[in-house]
Amino acid sequence: MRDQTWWYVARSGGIVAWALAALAVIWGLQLSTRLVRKPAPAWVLDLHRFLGGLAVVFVGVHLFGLALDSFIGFGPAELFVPFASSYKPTEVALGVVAMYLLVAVEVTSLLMKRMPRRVWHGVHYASYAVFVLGTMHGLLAGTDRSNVVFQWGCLIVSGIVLYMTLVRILAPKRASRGRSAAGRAGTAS
Amino acid sequence: MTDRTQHPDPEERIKRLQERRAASSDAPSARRRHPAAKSRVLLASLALASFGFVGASMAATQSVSTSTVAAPAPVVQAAAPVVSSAPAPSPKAATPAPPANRSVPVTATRGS
Repeated sequence: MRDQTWWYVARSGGIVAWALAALAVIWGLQLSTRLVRKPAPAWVLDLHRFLGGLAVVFVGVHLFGLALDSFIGFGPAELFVPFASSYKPTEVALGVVAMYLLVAVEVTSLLMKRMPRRVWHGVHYASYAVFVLGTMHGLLAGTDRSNVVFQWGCLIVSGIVLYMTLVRILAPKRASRGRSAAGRAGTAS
Repeated sequence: MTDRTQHPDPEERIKRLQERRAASSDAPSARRRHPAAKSRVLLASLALASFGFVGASMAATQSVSTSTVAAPAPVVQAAAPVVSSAPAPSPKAATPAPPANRSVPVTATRGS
């Protein structure tokens, strides 16, 4: 039982990291769509940034657990190089790529004021890919893919993200209004 | 109102207002930098709690399935000698078992 502790750390860290990344995407979409009027843009932006950072931390916990688990036998190559894993190479690679994209989104967000806004925005769109790849990684490679609660969680969260994305695309005027509000909040904070 | 009567000079009044604003802007600067400071703490606690809860529930599910698997142990052990006589393969050298089925090989090989 004790030798499986790191395995539980890896699995639990992965699920929490996915949930936090999904929440960060939803918070970001709320910032641009203003679907819910009540929360102040500055509050939403602050929490959106924090959620992204926390997701990176829990991805670290996920990797840490995998590295220390002796059964799965993941080394640096399996953890950081796509398709290096002999266990489900494609499904694991989805997670590796999602991790790199998440780190890219986080780093560019931290350096947002020092880079052209267009570059930052382009990289920030990768957060959609982070969500999709992370969800696929969890559903295809994860041990808990057969867990009904996890499956329903993925379905509901994906539905929310899809709906908010459609609102974002189909209501450009509203979105640009939200963006300008977010920009104001960003410059204010 | 009282300010206006006490300081009719507009320049003096603007000066006082600027001083007051400068004095008040020092204190809540931290709050303005992180408008969701309390929510951040709440969220971090919630994330940690769910991390612990998910891990604990996994361990609990595993222990329940282990106990149910362990019940027909005599039958499993009767068929086991062929497997146990062979040298134990290292997990890395063998084709890694999918973690989904991990509860079975784990309890069989390193459950004790």
